[in-house]
Amino acid sequence: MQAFTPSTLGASKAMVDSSATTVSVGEDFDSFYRREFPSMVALASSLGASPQVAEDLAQDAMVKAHRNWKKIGQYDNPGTWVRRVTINLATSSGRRKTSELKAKMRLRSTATYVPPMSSPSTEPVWEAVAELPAKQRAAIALHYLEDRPVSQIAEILECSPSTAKVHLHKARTRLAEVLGAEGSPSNV
Amino acid sequence: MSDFNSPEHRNDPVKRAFDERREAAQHVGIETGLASVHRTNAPARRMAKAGGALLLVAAIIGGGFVSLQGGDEAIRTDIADESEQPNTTAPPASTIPGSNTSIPSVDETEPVGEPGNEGAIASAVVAIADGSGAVVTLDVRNPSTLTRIDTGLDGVSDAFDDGSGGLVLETIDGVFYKQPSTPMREVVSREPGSTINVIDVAVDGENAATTLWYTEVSDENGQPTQRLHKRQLDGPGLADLGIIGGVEVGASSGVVGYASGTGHSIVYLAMSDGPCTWLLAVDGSTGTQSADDEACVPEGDGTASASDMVRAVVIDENNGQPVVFRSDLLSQSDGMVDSWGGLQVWISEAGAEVEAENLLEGATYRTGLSGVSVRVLTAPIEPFEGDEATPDVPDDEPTIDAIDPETYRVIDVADDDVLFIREEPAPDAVEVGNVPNGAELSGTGTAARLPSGAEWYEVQVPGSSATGWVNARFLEIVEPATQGTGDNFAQLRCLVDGTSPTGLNGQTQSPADHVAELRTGQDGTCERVIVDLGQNFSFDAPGQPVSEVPAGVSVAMSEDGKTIVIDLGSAIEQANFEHLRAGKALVTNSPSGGLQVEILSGPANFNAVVLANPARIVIDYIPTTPTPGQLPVPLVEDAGVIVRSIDGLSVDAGVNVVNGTATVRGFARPFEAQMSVSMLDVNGEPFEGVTWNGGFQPNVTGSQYSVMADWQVMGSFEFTFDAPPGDYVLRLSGDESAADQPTFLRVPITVAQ
Repeated sequence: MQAFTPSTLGASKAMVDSSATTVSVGEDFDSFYRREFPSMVALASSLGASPQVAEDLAQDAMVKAHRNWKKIGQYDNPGTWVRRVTINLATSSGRRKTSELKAKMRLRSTATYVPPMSSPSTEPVWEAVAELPAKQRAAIALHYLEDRPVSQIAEILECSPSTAKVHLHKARTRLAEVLGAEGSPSNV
Repeated sequence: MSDFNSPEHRNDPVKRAFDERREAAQHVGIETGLASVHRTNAPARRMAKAGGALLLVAAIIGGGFVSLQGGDEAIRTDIADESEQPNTTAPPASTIPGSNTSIPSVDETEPVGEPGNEGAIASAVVAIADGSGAVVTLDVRNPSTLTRIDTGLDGVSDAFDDGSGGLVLETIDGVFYKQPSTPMREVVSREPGSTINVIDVAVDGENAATTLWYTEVSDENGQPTQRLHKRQLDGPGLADLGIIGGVEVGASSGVVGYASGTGHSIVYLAMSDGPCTWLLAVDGSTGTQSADDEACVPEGDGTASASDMVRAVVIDENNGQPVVFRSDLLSQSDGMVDSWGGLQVWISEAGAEVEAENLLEGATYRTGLSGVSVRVLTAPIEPFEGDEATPDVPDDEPTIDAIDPETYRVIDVADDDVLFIREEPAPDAVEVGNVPNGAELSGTGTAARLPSGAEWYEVQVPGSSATGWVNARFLEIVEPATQGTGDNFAQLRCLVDGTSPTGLNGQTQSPADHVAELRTGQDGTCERVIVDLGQNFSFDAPGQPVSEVPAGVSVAMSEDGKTIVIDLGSAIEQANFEHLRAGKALVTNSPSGGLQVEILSGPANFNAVVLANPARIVIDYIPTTPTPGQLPVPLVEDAGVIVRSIDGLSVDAGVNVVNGTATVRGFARPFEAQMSVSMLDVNGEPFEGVTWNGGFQPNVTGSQYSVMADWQVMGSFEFTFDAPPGDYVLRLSGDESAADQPTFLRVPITVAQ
């Protein structure tokens, strides 16, 4: 049996060499990050993640975007890509479990006050949102958080505009039923 | 959709909630996160080097073994007490015996494996859980051994092969262990408020015992505390090892590696504390740990977070070399896979499938080590390099599409079985109803295609207002039956006195063979008119053949004399139109000619009644104001909006003239049952001087107004406007969202002096 050294590992080459994932448009990414990151966090938290996990998930999406910024930075709308990734990450319970643990570990060294994401008066809304199917939840979050039209929601969710409409309509109908007439979304 | 900043939105609790969430997210640490991104993806990565030894991060899953040596000596091993002991005493912080305060080197390996079979590895099995109760195991050396196991547990989040055919299962409740031919047993209970994370299961090299390694994070005095546990599965548990001596509790990023071999075991912890990321080795037998300072890799040195990098390592039995799955590498040329979380296993109706990011479907990837390869069974994501953007996280959600709402019949269900209607389009979703073979279900017009290719249709749950999903392979579309004879018309009723109508002007009814005029009748009588729409009329597609009208349908004029109402009545049950909740219909002129009938089935839901060929509408009505020869036409119609009337409106030489306040009534089929109206001046610019009433808010002055469509009454609306003299265009939004450049119904209006 050969010696168990890094040089015999298939991974060793990449371990010691410069990675192919160099970032050539760092400044552009930085601007993108500063502008989009809070929206990613809001989106992830609206999909059910706790504040720390939402930040973790949004960060994961941004790390992926940065890793491939040479390509993603050339897209017409890189924000669509990272939102898609954020939504996928936030709606996967298995991955969130890992993120929950990591976030909890990190909490120990977090000194910055993190304000709660919700006031008590809005809890019924979030409970109702949490019960929506994943696609409806994502559609309603994109609609309310970012005022996105159906066409953009469809692009992010990778579905047809008519399907996005169905998601939105079902979500709004469901929220109206759960929250009651007084608390229903305004008829707009 | 109207202006999101308009006053009428301020009372929307959903909007308020999302606004609040958006504001809260502004407090995130942007610069810190940005710096972290750059650190994570820094180009150069080097192994930490300390004291001449190489620090290796590796996680071994399954039965692989690597033995380690410190310096020139084998690390002394101490077998812990076989009885489980609480970690109450911190052993002295000292270096691992045999080492020179450095992390043991990995220069040499010793033959490992089962006694008498040195050199052979027991297995190279990856076990993966998907969060449900199922686990998939895959022998990396032989991908055809992919096996799906239903554990019977809830929420299995991770699974580990013990190297001898057994499985350790991590669930939210604790850790369970199942060996071949033995019942499942719980080996670790999760204490309330704690989180368990299994690191690995392996046969300890020293005592040949199957050992479970896991961490437990719990809150102590408000601080998350992590303890490292070691438990012998084959017998009484071994001593727990706490993280002790110089390690800041809670700062660890977690255990990233475990190596066990003859003579010792070592657990590697990745620590991140301020300026550096470093690995700590803890002797699994004694609990002693290496000194940390020499292993510290300062930030900026290019070392990525170890805990995020290594996802799995499997030993190739052919040559004993490990196959390392790292999340930071992408190398298809030499066979290494890049996967966040390692191999993804998709458990679907079609069976277990393997997905791996950035791999080509059907391809077999070698690991770069002889005899070890991974075959990709399904890979929905194209390789990222050179291709269009796809997220590198596979989307395992079903694809939703709109389809024609149909009536379905349940087929292929055994007589002693039922077809379940489920809450979501998934075979393991909660049941919300069930129907026997032959039952009919009403589709809502929504379909879901699962990644497996299976199609599910959303249907109305019988006897309920709820909807659910059924697998479409158990459904067939019910073809509408051909309309019968004039006997159906005998069931129509006259609204006057409940007697059966005798037909047009006293004549006995007869099937209509030609288009009859639709007209009002004589005062005081109930008159029937049969409208034959001809051979080529269709409400779904004007000009196409149509099918039948259900029996038991009655049609009547509305009280205002302006609307023909088709009441489906008992025909709802007979024709299985259960989904038509409102039971009312609206007959209007079709823009393409002829009449169109819309059955209004509830808030914002419309279904077209398809009539027989030749299509007929039989109308019994109570006449109000005789208007011979005049069809009940809408005033204007376009873009899904029908304006029935504008009180106060007169038409003068083709110009719509309004004197004073005008009341607009109509029906709308807008997006989400909401309609916005606005007034434009002759230049097409919003005119702010209009006072609106009757909509969502009273007495609103401005160019735009939201009119609440009444969801309970066929999408009707009514509002008033009052504008100063001048020429305008009254604009009503159609069936699109305002943000999607909707179509509008435009009504030129002149407000008289």
